[in-house]
This record gives sequence, C-alpha cells and structure tokens, in this order.
Amino acid sequence: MKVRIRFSKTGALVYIGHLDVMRYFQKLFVRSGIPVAYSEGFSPHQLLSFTPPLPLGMESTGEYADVVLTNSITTKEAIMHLRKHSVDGIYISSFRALPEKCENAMAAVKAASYSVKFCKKPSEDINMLISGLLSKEAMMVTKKSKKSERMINIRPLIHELTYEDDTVNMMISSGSIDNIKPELVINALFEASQKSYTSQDLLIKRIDQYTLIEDKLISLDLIGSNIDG
Amino acid sequence: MSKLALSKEILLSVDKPARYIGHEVNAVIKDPKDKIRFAMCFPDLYEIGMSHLGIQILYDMLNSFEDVWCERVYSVWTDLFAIMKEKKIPLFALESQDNIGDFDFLGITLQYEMCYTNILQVLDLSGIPFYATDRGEDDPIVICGGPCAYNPEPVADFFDLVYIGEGETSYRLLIDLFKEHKMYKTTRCDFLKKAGNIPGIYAPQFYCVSYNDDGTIKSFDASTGMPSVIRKEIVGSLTDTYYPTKPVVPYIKATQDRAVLEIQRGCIRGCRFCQAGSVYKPIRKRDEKKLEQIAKEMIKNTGYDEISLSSLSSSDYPELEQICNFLIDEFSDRHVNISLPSLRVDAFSLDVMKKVQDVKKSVITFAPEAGSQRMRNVINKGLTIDDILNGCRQAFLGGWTRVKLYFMLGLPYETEEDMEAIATLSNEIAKLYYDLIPKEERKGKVSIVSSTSFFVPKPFTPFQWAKMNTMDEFRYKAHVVNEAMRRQLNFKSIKYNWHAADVSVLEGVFARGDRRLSKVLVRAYEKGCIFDAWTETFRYEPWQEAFEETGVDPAFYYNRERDTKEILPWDFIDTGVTKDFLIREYINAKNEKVTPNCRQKCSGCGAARYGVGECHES
Repeated sequence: MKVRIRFSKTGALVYIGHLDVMRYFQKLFVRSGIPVAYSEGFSPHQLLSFTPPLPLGMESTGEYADVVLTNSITTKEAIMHLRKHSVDGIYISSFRALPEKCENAMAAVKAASYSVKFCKKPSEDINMLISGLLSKEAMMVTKKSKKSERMINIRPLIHELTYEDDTVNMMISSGSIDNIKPELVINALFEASQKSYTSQDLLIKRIDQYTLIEDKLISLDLIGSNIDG
Repeated sequence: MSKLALSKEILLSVDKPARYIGHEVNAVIKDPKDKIRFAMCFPDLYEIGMSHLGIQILYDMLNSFEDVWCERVYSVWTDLFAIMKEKKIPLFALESQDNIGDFDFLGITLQYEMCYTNILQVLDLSGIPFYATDRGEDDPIVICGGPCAYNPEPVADFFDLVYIGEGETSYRLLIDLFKEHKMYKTTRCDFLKKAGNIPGIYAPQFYCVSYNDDGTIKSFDASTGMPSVIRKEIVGSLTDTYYPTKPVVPYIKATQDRAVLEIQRGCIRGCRFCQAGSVYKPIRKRDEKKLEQIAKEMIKNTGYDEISLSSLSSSDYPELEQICNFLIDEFSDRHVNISLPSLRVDAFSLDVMKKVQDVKKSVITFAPEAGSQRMRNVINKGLTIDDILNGCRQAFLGGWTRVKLYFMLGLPYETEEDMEAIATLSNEIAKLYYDLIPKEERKGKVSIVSSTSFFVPKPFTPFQWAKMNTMDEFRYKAHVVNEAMRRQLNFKSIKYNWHAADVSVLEGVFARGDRRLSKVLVRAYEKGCIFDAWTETFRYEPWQEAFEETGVDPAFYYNRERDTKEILPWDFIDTGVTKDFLIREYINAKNEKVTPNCRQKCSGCGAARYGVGECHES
C-alpha cells in the first residue's frame, strides 16, 4: 500500500536541502515505527518519492512524500507518531492511502501555488499590473538556467494571479514539463518599470502543489483517502 | 518562529547553512532561567564535530543535570568566518543561538594538534580574550579536555582550566563549585584556584615554568595551595555511567553518520607509538547486556540506518561474538547496517563481515604499522607476518579482493631495509592472491593500497623522548618506499599513498611543546592560519614566518632526542602509567624486545593503581 504524506517546512528547517529532507524522513519513519517498505538488493532503501525540491530558504505548507508501506496503519495513529518524532519545522498535516496505479509525487506535480510578499512594498498599483498581464495572450520572458537562456511564453503557465493584503498569490506550472519560478512572474509584472526582483527581495512561500486530473488542477492532498481503523 | 543568530541573507550565502541553525532531532532545549550555561565546542567543522562520541557523552551528561543547559558550538567555515568578522557578528551556540560570550562555561575538546588555531577563532569570534589572565569577571570560564589535554602546555595560556582524563567524573563538582562562586560572588581568581583543586582539573595560570639556557625546562612550580601533580580522572565502571542513548541527529551528513556503540575503553596492547593505548589504561569494558539495551534505544531514538562498534581494538572485547550476533539478529532484517571497525582479520571476523557487508565492496584492513618484523618488535606491534598472510588467505578464499595496509615511516631505529619491507610485504600479499586463486576464478586484479603516515612522537608513550624526523628525511623515506614499490613484481596491483610531511612536523612541534608556543599560535592565527587539519586551507609558509617572528625554533621541539632525566612539559600529569615503565619500554624498543599484552602478563605499567578494569579483576 502506498500513502501520501503532506508536510510543511518552516522556520529554521528552510535551510535544509532536499536530499537532507529525504534523509530526515527516512529516519523519521524509523523513529515513528511507520512500516515502510524497502527495495530489494544488497543496499536496500526505503520506497520513497518526494515532490520537486523546494529552493533553499523557502517556506512551504504543501510538500509531499509518497511512501510504500508493508502493513497498514491508520491515518490517526501514523500522524500522531510522526508528529511526536518530528521537529518543529516539519509538520505532518495528512497521511492518506493512494489509489492503485497512482503517479508518484514527483511525477504527479503539474502546478504549484505561492504567496509572495515584497521586502520593500512597491509604489505601483499591483492590481493594475496583474490585470494587464492576464489580459495578454502571450508574455515572452527570458528563462535562465545554469546552462542556457531561452525565451518562453509564460502566460499559459499562469493559472491564477491575484493581489490581496500586500500579497501576490499565484498558481503556476511546476514539475518536470513546464516549470517556472514565482520570481519570473513577479519580474514579468514589473517589466514595464524595468524593475528586477531576486528571491532575496521577496518573501516567497509555497502554499500547495497540484496535479492534473481531467483538465483540472487538483491539490495532491485530495488524492486518496484517510485510513480508518 | 525559531530564533536564528544569522540573517536569511547570510545563511543563503554560505555553504551548508544547516551547519549553523541547530534545531536537530534530540537537540536539548531548556528554559535558560537559573541554568548554568555551558557551551561545548569541537573546534572544527560541524560535520566533524558532530561525529565525535566524547562530546555526545558530555552533552548528554551535562544536560542530565537539571541546573545545567549544555549547548554545542563548532568552528565556522572560512566563508562565514569572513562575514562574521566583517559584520562583527558574535559566535553563537546552536541550540539557543545565544552569544558564546554570555555563557558561564566554554568547553573545548582538543582532539588533534592541528585544530589549535581554530580555538583562537572561537575565542576571537566570541569576544573572549585569548590569554586567560586577560579575562574579566564576566567572561566565560574556558576549559579544555580530550587527548591533547595530556600535554596542554602549548595552549595552556588560553585556558582557565584543563580537564585531565575522562569527563564523566568531575564536572558535577565543578558545576557545584561554580554555583557557590556565583552565590557568594567570589572572584574569578578565587574560583579558578578552588577549581584547580578538584580531581583531574588543572588551572595553568597558577603554575610557573622556568627554563635553562639550553631551552629545556628548569622548574615547573605550583603556587601555594595548588597541587603539584594532576592525576588523570577515569570512570571505574563503563556500565554504570552516562551514555547518550538519544544523540543529536544532524540534518546534513556528518563524517560518522551512524549510531556509535562504545564497547570498551583502553587497550590491552602496548604499542609503543600509541598515546591512546597508554593514557586510557586500564582497559574497561561495558557490559554486553547493557550494550544490547543501548543499541536498541539508540536506533529507536535516532532512526539511524547504521550502527558501529567503537573501541581501540574491538577484537579484544571478550564478548565480541555475542554482541556481533546480537546486532545481526536484532538489526539485519530491519535495514540497519552494522559496521565493525578495528577488528582483527580472522575466521570469525570474516564470517561476521560476510553477514553484514557486501564482500565485493568491502575492504580488508590491516595496520601492521611497520614493514619488517624487526621494526614491529621495536614498536611492540604484536601482529606477525603469519597473522597478516593467514588473514589475507582466508579473505581471498572468501571472495575479498581489496586489501588496505597502514604503515608509519620515521619510527625510531628505522633502517632502509625496514622501509623497503613495506613494499615487499605489500608484494607478498599480492603474490599470495595470485598463487591462491586460479586464473579462471579471479575477478580482475587484486588491489593492495598501502599508506604511510609520518610518525609523530607523543607524550606518555615510550617514544616521548625520541627525535622526530625532519621534513626532508620524511620525504626521502617516502621516496625509498615508492622506489621499492616500483621494483616489486606485482607493483601494478599495489597503490602507494603517503601523507604530507609539513603538517606532520607541525603536529610534532605542538604534541611535545611547552608554554612558549602560545605566542606562535597567536601569530599564526593573525596571519590567517585556520583549519590547519584541512588540506584545502593549510598553508605552511605563514607558520614558518610565525616561528621566525616569535623567535621559536621548531626543531627544538620535534627534531631533538630528550634525555630521560629532562623535565618534560607534561611531567606534572600522572596518567597512572609510570615514567619508569616508559623508560623501560624505550629501552626494550631499542633492544627489539617484545613486551606481552596485559592479558598475557602484567608488565607493571602502573595503571593498576586505579584499582579498576581488567588489572583489578584479574
């Protein structure tokens, strides 16, 4: 049986990298007595899959880990044990059995939602900028990676974009196919005023991650069901 | 929101910020109110310091005291160091992220000489004066301990107190004394004097050293009311003492990323180069049933996927078979790996290794330390060529194809033949493989990796009077071995590595140094020497300048044979092992005479005076 665990990563834990979070969960499962399945072979490892890495320094309330179990355990019991043995910055919010033949957490992700606050509040009318951007059919921006630089149209990759209480909320494409960073959207908003924001100038938080089911973006948390006793 | 001493901007600009944030699983958080605040420091990188069992034991013990909150602090890497210096950010403890300068105690473990400049970095960033006598009433009490504290003199000026021996015994007395000092508002000086009368604790500033014209020590005098001899402290029973069953689990991979089970302390063998074997005498074992309980608790509390045995020589643990079988039965189907270092290679250990490791990946390790039997007799290393070849024979037949050999160069009375014997021994092992395993059964070549380190004489060993080689001599010796390797028939199956000579020489200076070296350390630190144990940061030139500018001749300390009548800087310490015994052993070394191990026959080293451990029981 495969389960999906939703967790948040906050406080000091934002400085722990992805691989270390994976190692953290491997140990957390052992401490919590979660009956995790291991691979075969001479150096067996836990059958575990995570959603795409969260950048170092970013908080999130919507991280996921999928794990295969050898025996069943109730959601209530599992959450109780996991919370008891976890640290403050990693909080387990759900533990749900996944349906058979479900894509793993890494492959399932198609979009992610973020909240973005500015360290220094800009003078522009952000609601105007947002409606300007959303009214366009195409928005070409330069996407830089370590290796290359290329122009992409980010407009179809923005699924939601709003501004409320000094916070930009957005749902944008994420995952292995179309992946964009929230900073890219913010910089697209301020393209006209030629402002450039880096992750240092912004307080970005990942809120949740979504998969695509019948053309609808659905939170990874809504897949599967609680395990009752 | 958890408190962090460093800003987000800084944390995101340095390598591995997880080194500086604390908040790990099993880290101890207490209410600081009315607590004695103790900062325990391993003066090297987090990943190194977190791997150290001694600190884990002391952390566990001090936090078991209700009136103490012990936290951890490590050296900051060069990237963060530059930022903290520039922005004047004080050094902080990991748990509370509070400034070290505000603590009651700063404890620093001295595990190797090449971390001495890192001590100065810790003091510097904490805003604590380098020299103990410059410190004010409100500065933390700076105390050190660990193996290098058996000759604390090169760093004695930097410490208010030095703890000689095993930490489990005297800290409670020290804390109580400190609380009294706080309550009655006595002076720092008064406190230190009293502390210097607690068993095992040395307060260097109340001792005066004078020197002869030739640079040797003329006298070492204690002030009135201070003990003239400090006797090392040891734990009587390892079974009934502190053991960290809930060690802190780092987020990032530490050098030793596993649960550690200390099965015994001390060693029955009398290798004449080995300081640990001498200062940790007498041998004391931890009860096997107790170890089983500790092992289970540790895995449950940490979630580690590996457990390792720790001791100077695990094969000498009487219930080794039971503890190995227990670990295999308990953990092998729970995906916990078992690692068994310092095991003698024999039928039993190979059988155990087969059960817990992948033979294809694992390596058979021997530490003959010297190539020739003559030289092994000089150093009293009771490992014969037959032991090695028999071990290898069984290993090769069992499917192993990789052998690692550790040797030392520059041992006393070493000849060119002894050096070349390192190469012939390596060759003989390779030859054994090819003779033993028919061509059609071989999976490629056998791999022999032979490494030599340069011998550094250490205090409290029979070689404490010996002359250490110069850098040129070391390099020549490595060259001799390398050339001899190339002449071997099977040289293509052998890889030879040797250590850097410059670091070894510095280690040699500080290992047997005296108080006149503190100014060299300060000067070297001012010149930017830091993380000298790391090849990427170590530079020899500034050290050379530091010696020249302070008028200290390093050769006096390392490249000089001492007379056995000379007053040695560490003579005021009593480790139990007597000077007479060490002199006897120094002579035995010269005569190539082997001394039996403690189980074969008591040689009267003096450690039996402690009345504990195997000396006492047998």
